[in-house]
Amino acid sequence: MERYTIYKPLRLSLLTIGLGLAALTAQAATIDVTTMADEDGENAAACSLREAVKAAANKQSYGGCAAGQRYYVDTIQLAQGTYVLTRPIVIEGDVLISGYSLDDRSRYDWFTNQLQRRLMNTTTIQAPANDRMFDSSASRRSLNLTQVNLQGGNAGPQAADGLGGMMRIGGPLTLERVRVQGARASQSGGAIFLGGAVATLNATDTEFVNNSAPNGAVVGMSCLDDLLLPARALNFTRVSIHDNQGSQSILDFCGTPTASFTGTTLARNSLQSQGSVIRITNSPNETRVGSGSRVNLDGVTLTENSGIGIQYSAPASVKVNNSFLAFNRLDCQRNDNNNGMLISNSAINFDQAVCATGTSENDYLQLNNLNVNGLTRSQLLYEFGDYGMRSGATDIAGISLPGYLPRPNISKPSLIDQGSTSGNCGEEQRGLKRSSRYDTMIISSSIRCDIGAMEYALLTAEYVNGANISYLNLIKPTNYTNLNAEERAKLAIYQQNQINVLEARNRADVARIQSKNPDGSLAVYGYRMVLANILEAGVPQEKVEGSGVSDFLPFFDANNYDVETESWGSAPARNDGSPQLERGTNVEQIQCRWDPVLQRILMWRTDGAVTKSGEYDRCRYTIIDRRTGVPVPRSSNIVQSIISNIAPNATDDRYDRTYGTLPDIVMDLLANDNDDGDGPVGSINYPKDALQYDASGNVVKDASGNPTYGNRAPFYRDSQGRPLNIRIVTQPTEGVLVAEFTGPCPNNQRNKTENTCIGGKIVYKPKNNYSPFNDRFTYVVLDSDLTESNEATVSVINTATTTEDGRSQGKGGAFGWLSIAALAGLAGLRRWYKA
Amino acid sequence: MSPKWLSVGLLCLAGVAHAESITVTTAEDEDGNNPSACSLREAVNYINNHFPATDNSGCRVENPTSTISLTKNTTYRLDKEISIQAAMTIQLDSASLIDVNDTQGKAHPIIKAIGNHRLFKIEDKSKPDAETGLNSNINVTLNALQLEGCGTAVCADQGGLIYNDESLTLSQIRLRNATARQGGAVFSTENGRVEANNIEFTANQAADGAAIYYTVPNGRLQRAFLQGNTATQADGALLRVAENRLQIDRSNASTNLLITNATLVENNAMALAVKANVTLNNLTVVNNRNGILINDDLALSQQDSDSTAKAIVTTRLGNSIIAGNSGFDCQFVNGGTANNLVYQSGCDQAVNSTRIGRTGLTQLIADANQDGECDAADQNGLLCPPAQGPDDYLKSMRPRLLISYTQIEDSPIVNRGLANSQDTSLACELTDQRGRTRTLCDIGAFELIVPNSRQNNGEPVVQGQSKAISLLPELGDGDLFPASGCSALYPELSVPTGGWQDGCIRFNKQPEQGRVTFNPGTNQLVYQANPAFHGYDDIVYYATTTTSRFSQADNSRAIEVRTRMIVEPAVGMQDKKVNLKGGAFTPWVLLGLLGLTYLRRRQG
Repeated sequence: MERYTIYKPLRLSLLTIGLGLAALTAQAATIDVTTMADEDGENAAACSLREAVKAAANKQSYGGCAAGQRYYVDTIQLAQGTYVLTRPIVIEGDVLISGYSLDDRSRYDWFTNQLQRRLMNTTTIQAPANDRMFDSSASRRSLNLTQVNLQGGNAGPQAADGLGGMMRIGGPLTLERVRVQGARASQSGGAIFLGGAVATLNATDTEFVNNSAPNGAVVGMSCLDDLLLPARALNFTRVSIHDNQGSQSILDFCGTPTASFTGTTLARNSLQSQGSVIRITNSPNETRVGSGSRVNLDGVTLTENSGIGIQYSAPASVKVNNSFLAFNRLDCQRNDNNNGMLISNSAINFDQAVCATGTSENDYLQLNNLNVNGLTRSQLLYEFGDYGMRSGATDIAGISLPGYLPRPNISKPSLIDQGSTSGNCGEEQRGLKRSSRYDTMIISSSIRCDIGAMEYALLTAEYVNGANISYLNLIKPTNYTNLNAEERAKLAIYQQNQINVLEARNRADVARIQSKNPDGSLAVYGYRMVLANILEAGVPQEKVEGSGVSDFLPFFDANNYDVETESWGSAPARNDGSPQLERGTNVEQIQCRWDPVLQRILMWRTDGAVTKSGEYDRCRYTIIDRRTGVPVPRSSNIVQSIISNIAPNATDDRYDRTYGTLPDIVMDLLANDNDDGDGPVGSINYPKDALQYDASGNVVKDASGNPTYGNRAPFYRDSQGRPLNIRIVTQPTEGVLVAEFTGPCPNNQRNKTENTCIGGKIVYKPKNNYSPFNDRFTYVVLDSDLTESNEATVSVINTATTTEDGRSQGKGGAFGWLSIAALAGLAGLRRWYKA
Repeated sequence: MSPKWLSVGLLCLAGVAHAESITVTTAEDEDGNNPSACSLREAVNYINNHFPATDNSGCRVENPTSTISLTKNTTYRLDKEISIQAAMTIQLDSASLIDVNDTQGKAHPIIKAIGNHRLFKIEDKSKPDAETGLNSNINVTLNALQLEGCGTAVCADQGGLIYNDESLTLSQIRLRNATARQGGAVFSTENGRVEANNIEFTANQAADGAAIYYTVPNGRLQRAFLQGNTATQADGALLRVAENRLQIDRSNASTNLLITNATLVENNAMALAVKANVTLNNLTVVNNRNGILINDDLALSQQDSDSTAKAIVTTRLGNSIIAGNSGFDCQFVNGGTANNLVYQSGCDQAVNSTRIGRTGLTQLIADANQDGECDAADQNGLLCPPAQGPDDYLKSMRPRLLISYTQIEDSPIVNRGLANSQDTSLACELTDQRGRTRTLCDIGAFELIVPNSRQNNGEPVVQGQSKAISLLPELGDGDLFPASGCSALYPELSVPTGGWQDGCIRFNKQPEQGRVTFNPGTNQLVYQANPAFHGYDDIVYYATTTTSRFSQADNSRAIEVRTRMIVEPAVGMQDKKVNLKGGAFTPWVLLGLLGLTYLRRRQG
């Protein structure tokens, strides 16, 4: 009884911890697949793909797989290699299946300019020999697949309905960076069959190749469900559908579909002469298409198919924009006499344009269409090829979406810059930026996109807005390992390598910024320097070498590009924020330099001042392709920056005071403070504008009687040299501060309470020598530009207390070893009672 | 909160002036005899006389509106006809109007003729306007009422229930048992206009116009069911349009008549006899004396005036079943066009139409034993006999998809209506007789709907006993598909243990505390509860119906249903409602906590 009473509080607190554990934030589970074998519960030591799908659906551990998280869509993580299925996997709950990603987060992608270089998929799922791979038909649940190659599938021998050779889908299907290859069906949907009212398809960065079926070699769907024409959405974004075989159609739309294609290539598919790549048509004795059906093509290349490009009939409506629709057996055909489809900003054969809105060449021209009649495909487009891929020394990088690249053509019509105005072109198939800020700035009318799915990249420099940031931040290494233990454990070795690469690179940058001349001055860093990243904003130059291979020169390789810079003076921006083109004023006060190591334009003022209000300090730069060595039309632009004063940096101080004595404490509060955010002494162009004073406070003069100037002081001094630069924000309570200098703060403003600033020698005088309490006060320090620092705290620690504050902060958090230990302790306690 | 209280609340929010409807407080037909009661006649006169402040009838209210409110489940008896001479609305009280538990309208008040007279003569005697000579009709609305006539004696010469010379709106009205020479139920003058929606005509009789006699085509008849009415004249019609408008209209304004989504069945009359400017769409006209006679005399007259001019079609017929009528189904005397019909005789000029036989697969009605119940799914018959759905105000005739069909195109009715008109043909109405949306539309007044999401039902059952639940509401408009066809329909699926059940039932969750069977003839689920169980038993299954089976996608070929049986002891209170609530704080939890407390005390 006694013992119990003693431990009751402890026990209660432990109970509280226990309850806290129960409230742990839930999140979707990641289920790691640990075997390539197609197991189904027989081996509890390994988790197969099939078992993982079940564990995710049933939210129960199964066959060696961890349980899914209730109410969440779980991720099934695959490893590198090939998973061979022996029979179809039935999807019974929403699931995301993710292939193993080699993406290199330490390098820029060539096309997206993002710091994540896309690398080839390394995971393959192989369908059963005579059956399909996935079936979500009955459950109608969602299936998401990302970064995985899917191979094979056959709706024929065992999947007797002949629908959906690789996947029979009843719910939402999302494909991201997936290759769908080599599936076939005896009826419809060689690769995918969408059945029922809630089946949808979203394909992004995905390739469909070598699939076959009589109808819908790639996608087929149910036309009539529940006595209705079911509505469903299909989106193809940056997709390549090529070399599939379907006698009637490659994409067989029916029901009431709304389909959009953007940045997509549909090419080289083989069909019967009356078969079509996109078919959305009623047949004479069957209503297949409902009113409201739509197909939109934006930035699509539909060419070199052996059948009809687009075949449609009312009530479906078809819109084509910024697309290349030519050189098929027949480009389009409409099966009724209703309005034609709206074709704009596209390349078509006017002689075959019977299905387009309008009747005459003028009608087509008014919609900015380009007539390809009399031309050949190879005059307009390079050969079919994988322009998004590039083999490097160690890896194959990019995105495998074969297509056609527009060919620059000086004498003949070209597709380049002939399409929609930027912003209305659809995506670029490889992820290249299609819009440019260059256009509105340099030329009055917009630069148009290239017609079709791909953009022939022309070296383009964009204007960049810059600003100087604190030097102290620049030299602080970035922490790339801000991951918890579990996340780190999950990281594969290659990902750790990426972190290492990133860190090494970051260290190199930091070292470069801190590098010094023999005399100790900084070699690279200038006072209040701007480091402007011009490459992330721009577009590199494309050059095709050989058949179907693009020699695409990444910006981020110093071997490829030179950058020339010159000061462009100070000037306000234009109303839309873009820089004025003309050279501004005070050109000589701005320094510009390209640093090939940092890959930044370095820019600073020589006078140590800040940018005049309302203006920008500017550098003009020109990117030069090293192969040619000459500037090209769009390769020059401007960096416009606002160079401002960076606030000084104050650090907390601590002084100790012995209990029972009453000694004054002399404080040098600024000893550990600095104004290095603007750049330390020794920075290039560190301003020498500080009057020098002797010990008695007089200005030091040189031999000819002129005052002498030294390095700008980090903190404010008034005209008499008095350092009135400290403002006490909260006063001490156990003592008073006595300062050598006291006066109004230099940054006092009218209409506001006047502050008093202090400086020089500062003495803390305790009020009561037997006070057992600690004391504290806070201050800010002003730099030469009268900008206040952060608020620093000065602690006066009384020896009556061992530490200023012994209590630790309450930590949030979760299941730690301590709690386990505590639980174990509880168990022990319990046993103890029993005993 | 019940809709009733919700509406009361909303009224409170809206009410500033507190306009009041006039509530009839007596079912008797008194006129000034009882100043403390307000009769229907007194209420009408109070409005006719523009709310006199000196009114002593018992109807006077502070801020009166022109709305007369009747009480549900009440029969109001009239000794003689009531003359309506001012704009007004006579309706069921507003709270009962939105009673979701009476969508069938069983509690609607009845107004009944006691003698041989009609109920209402709607005629504003103050017209015509002296200056212009034009008539400005008053608007009279009847809403949610049943009107009973005097029977087979002649109630009035014109309009056995209503004589209308104004703009009359009828909504949710049953007109029954009235007799006249013209217009057994309703007679509408050349000045009159009748807008009718959700209307039933039963057992009315006239020499001509057994249900309605339109002097001119003016108005709408939408969502109607007409059965067992009689035209005594040999060529008498159920719905008669006597004249074409232009020939008599003084204002030369063109009016027309729209008759859509109506079922006209088993009337001893010609179903429709119309002239110019009439649109007939999505009708089911079966087993009457004759079908539809179109005499588009306007088209003829236009043609006459200029022999080279093509006839202008003003009367069109489309998307209708006209069959089984004793004489003709269609008769085109002059002009008129027709499309997408299902018929047996006389409609040959209709385009996109199907002429059906009378037996075998084209047998019209699936009611071999004439018991009024629809025959089992494997029997022939294109339409079920008239039946009233649980949520429907009117009876309707459901089309059937026969077991022998191999594809939906085998049905002459379903999805055979014209969905999008590209020329002068009539496209389907947007909704059907029950108010359901049409997309790929069916011919006739009834659109088959297949539910595409999981359906829920359930009922209480006493321990050890069995209970049958009709699945018709959950199965949409289909019947359980017979077991014999299941293997052919689902070749991929293995036959369940014990063979297929009707409906090709596939269980997602089997019953755990009882046994379940399915009855195809009655479309019922029969649950036999175990004797010792108390609680609920969920059964989740896919049922294939005669309508769902035609879905191309395998996942749409069956309807998912969850049936929750609440098994209860034989005695004690019975909760008739299915408890669909999720679990929460139950007595068991409390008991458990108490137990824990006890444990704690003992240990301490």
